[in-house]
This record gives sequence, structure tokens and C-alpha cells, in this order.
Amino acid sequence: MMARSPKTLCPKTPNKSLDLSPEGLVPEIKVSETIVIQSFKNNVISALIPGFIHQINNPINNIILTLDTLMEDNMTLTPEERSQLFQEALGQANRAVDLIKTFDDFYRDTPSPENGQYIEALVDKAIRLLNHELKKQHVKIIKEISGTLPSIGPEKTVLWQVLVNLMLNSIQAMPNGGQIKISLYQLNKELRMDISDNGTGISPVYLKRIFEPYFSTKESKIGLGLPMSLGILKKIGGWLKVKSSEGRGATFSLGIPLEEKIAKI
Amino acid sequence: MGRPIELLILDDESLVGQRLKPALEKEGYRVEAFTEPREALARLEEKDFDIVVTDIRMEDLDGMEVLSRIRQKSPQTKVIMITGYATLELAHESLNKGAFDFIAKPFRIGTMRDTILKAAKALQDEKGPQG
Repeated sequence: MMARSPKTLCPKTPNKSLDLSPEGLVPEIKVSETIVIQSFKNNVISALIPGFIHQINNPINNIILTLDTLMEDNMTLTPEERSQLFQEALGQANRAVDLIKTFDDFYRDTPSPENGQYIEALVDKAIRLLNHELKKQHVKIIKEISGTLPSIGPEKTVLWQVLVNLMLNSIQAMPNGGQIKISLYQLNKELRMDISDNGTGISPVYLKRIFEPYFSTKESKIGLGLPMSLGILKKIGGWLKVKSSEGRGATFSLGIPLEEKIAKI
Repeated sequence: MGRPIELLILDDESLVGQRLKPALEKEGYRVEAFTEPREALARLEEKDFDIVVTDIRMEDLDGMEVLSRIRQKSPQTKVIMITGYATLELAHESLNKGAFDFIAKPFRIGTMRDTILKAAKALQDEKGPQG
């Protein structure tokens, strides 16, 4: 457990900057928005790559085994059996395409409009992206949606990236399995989301510094995930808070305005 | 061996069992395929199989756990581990825990057939000429 020492980033476009610090808590850090978002996505993607390879290898393996069957049994298969096997191979190819698309959408700056407008669809997409990590760590997801949720503007689909990062943190806090509860509700003119896990929790000492850039309790992490999540949410007029007691899990709560209130950068 | 070799396949990807089962039955093996680790474990409690092929990463139960249970109950069973993400560490871990071999996805039916044949020969060698 150690915090990394602050490093200096050189923004390429210093006039376009993103404030990553919650006021009054930590020194302000301003870096290029493009670099911040890209670095944030790179960090998440690099954590997901082993899982992606595992997931994509399953449909590819199914295609190979099915094509092997078609070749080996070519003389004995009936036309119906042959057609069934081709259909199955095609289904597995589509499954691989869907997986690639989920990762590609996460990596691109502009998410696909058809699945980016509804908050529930974004949550489902985040679950799909993290499917392997959830399975590997034996983490169950409980989704609780209160009432009918409104659709959100395309500029707010960046929330998906924040959600993936918060869920990944929760998964990593549960080495022996557990559950993540995602509660979605509307309060006044805000869309609220609580992400609660029953993992290891965060000690009061670390809790104070959790949104501090380059602060991490894990040697392998840079410590930009949470400050970047906060920065992204602030950019769309939202907020992010955390509650936790050591050994008793953590709850990250966020809100985004449902009316236009986008911070100018 | 005077009787057919009994084989259990466990992979939560149902197509793996669906493709391997008929291909191996044609070779004379008696094959049972499972997608649910707990059902496979229940079957392994009832019956000792000669060869078990198991995926490592599954939702309910880890293939490593399946391997340990088999090693305890039926140490003569040859266990072949399959995984969707092969790392050297994982291969070492499974071999250290007593797996017979380790196959990474994606694999060909022929590769699995050859590995099973090697396991069957090892079983025969252990039993000796009378087996």
C-alpha cells in the first residue's frame, strides 16, 4: 500500500484544460482534456485486455471447432446438419463482432448513438464490458432501478466511462468475490447513481485522498481513475462522492443534471 | 484396457462439449459433457472418470477447484485443463497441481484428440500390460 509521488504532465493544448480536483481538498491540476480522457481510457482498457482476449477466444474457439466438425464430417452430415453448423459458426462470429464493438465503443470518443441514449443501456454496456472481470472475481451485479428513467443527451454518455472505472475499482476491492449493487433513480432534476460494493472498503486516511491525482493504494496503478472520473462528471455538470468504512465496502454516489448545464472548458 | 475410456468434458461454453463429444465418441471414447461445474462435480462424486477435460475459468466454480477435487478423490484420473487466456503462470500452476496437460483456446479438434490420446496411453502405461 503506497501513494505515488506527484508527477508533472505537460499539456499539449494548455488553453483547453480540465480541472480534476474537488474544490478545497487537493491542489488543482490542469492538463489537456484530450490527454486526460485518452489516458483514462488507456488505463481502463489495459486492465481489461486479458479479459477481452479470454472473451474473444471463446467464440473464435467455437468457430474453429464447428469448422473442424464441418470438414471432418463433411461426407456424413445431412444438408440440415450442415446448415445448422454454418448457422452456429455465424452466430459465434457475430458474438465476436459484438465484443469487439463493445470495446471499440469504449475506446472511441463518440459512443454509438443507438445504445448511448438510455442510462440503463449504458449500465448494461458497462456490465458487458466487465463481464470477464466479474466472472473471474465471482462478483454478482444487482441492478435496482426506481421508476422510469429519462434518456440522457449524447454528451452525457461519457458517464459510461466513469461507470466502468468505478465498477472496475469495486471489482478489484473484492478479491474473494462479492456483489456490486447499482441503484439508479431520478431526484429533482438529477439522475443519481449509487455503486455499492461489499469489498475491503477504504480506510479513513485513504478516503481523504481518494480523488487526489496520482494517489493510489495499489503499486500497479497510476492513481488517475477517480480524479479523472470526477473531472469528467464535473465537465457535464455532475458530482461524485464516496462513503466507506474499512472492511465494510464502499459506495460511490454520483449525480448528473438532466437539463443542460455543461461546464465550459 | 478392456473397456472404453470414460471421459468427462466440462466447459461453460456449450458448443465445446457439443463439438468434442461426437468427435471423441467416433474414436471409441465414452463421453459425458457438462456446462454447469456443480453438476459435473456431482457426477464426479458418483463416478470415477479416466480422463477429465475442464475449462479453467467458469462463473460458478474455478477449473482449478475441479482439478483439486479430482486429485483428492480419484488421483489416477488424467485432467486436461483448457483456458481462454493462456499465461505461463497458469500453465505452471495447473501442472504443479497435478494436471496432465494444458490447452489454450482457440484449439483444433485434432489437438484435443491428440492430447486425450496421450492421456489414454499414460493411463495404459500406468496400469501395465495386464490393464
